[in-house]
Amino acid sequence: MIDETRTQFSDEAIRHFLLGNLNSAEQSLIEHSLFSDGGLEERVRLAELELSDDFAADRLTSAERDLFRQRFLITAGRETSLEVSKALRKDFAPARVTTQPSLRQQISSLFDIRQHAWKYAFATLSLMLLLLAAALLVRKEQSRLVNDGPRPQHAVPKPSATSTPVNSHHSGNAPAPVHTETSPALPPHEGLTSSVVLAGGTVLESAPVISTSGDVITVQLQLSEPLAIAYDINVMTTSGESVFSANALPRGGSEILGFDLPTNVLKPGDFQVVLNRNDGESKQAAGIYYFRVR
Amino acid sequence: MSAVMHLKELRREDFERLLIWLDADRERAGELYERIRWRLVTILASRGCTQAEELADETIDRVARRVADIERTYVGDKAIYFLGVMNNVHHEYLRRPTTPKLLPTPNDDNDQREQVHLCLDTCLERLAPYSRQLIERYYAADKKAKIDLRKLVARELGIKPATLRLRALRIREKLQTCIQGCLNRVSEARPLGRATQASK
Repeated sequence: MIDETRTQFSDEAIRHFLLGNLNSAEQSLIEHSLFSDGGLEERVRLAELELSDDFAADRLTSAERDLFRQRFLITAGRETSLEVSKALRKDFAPARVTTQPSLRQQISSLFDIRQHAWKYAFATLSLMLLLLAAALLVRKEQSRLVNDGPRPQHAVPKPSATSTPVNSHHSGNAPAPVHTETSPALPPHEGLTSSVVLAGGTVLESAPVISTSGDVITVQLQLSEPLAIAYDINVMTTSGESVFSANALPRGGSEILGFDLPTNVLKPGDFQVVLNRNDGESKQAAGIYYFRVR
Repeated sequence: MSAVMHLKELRREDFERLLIWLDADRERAGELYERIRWRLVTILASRGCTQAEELADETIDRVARRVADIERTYVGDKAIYFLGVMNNVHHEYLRRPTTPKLLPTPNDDNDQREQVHLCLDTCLERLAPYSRQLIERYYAADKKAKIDLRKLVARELGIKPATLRLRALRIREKLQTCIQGCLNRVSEARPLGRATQASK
């Protein structure tokens, strides 16, 4: 674990040292080096932070977690460090930055059966098969009725002489008005999707309607010139209540800015995404995008 | 006990002498003092000592009291001297009769957590845009996806994943220092408010 001739300590050795899991010879060697080697001191400092990050992200083994609690988490500074690790994870994990996948990744993800698109495709296919089967059954039943035998002929009414007209109970009022109920307008097309592309300049009335099925929805904003390196987004209700925000989202190489929006912040209603260019020192408005949640 | 509180308990005269012995430049001496204390705490903790901070402070106390005697004759790395004294302090600690000691309970203070979040936001705002972008992307993914994403980020930046890790952790260290300072300022301002509430 430790190369004693050059006193080079592996990252693993440093980690074991922090968890109090070295033998006495290795322990003694690293203790003396910590006081004489500034480079090692920095590595141990950084390894301390990384250990907190790994604990917060549940990346330690069960034995390491026990050692972490018993031998590492014993100073106020380290407790604070763990809180920071948790906060960083909480702040940044939901707003995962959408990166441009490679061609290989795109192809492999295309055939990934776990994707929402595939689920909806299967659901649609099942529905279509069901409708087709129902239509075939109806047709078959109709043809069966036709083939079962001659239908009774309608008897033509025979003309007969009428007597002198007399008052009858029929009212002489004007005929009843024709029932002219108009069908309600069809709702806009609502695609069940876990991804939505929003274009700037679209008014609320023609904004896409999205479903909140799933944990997150990937929102892709079509950016307009001039393009910035990074953007701040703020997702708000149309009445101005902020439900989600993320800062300094990098644009990447395209004219699309993507981010994952947790669906638990969305309730049925109208929403707007307020986009600002973030060039470090200054922030400029870059557009408003609307969408609706059913 | 924080280092600042500990300083108040050291005799002013001894502490001044300790700092001058460490370095004639007061600022550098203060930095060296903090680094030595951190090393002592880290070593004691890795030895399984649950009172690492207390023993580190006791070590510094002893050294500070001896400086008057050794400053003219001591030759060599002064930091190493602390290691020797710390070994004595730790041996004495191990010989003390053991008293049952409760393991530290996980910090479950919601106020503290909320304050860490507020300080994190403030400290993130102070980072340069590049640093902020880097650390956000570094912490964006989790678990298995993290490795792939970090490789991707490293490729985009034209650096090796190991270099990305170092850069991100150095920014993380800056954040940690900034947040610690922010929390200290809040806690210095807070006791008065809590006392007022408690007296109602």
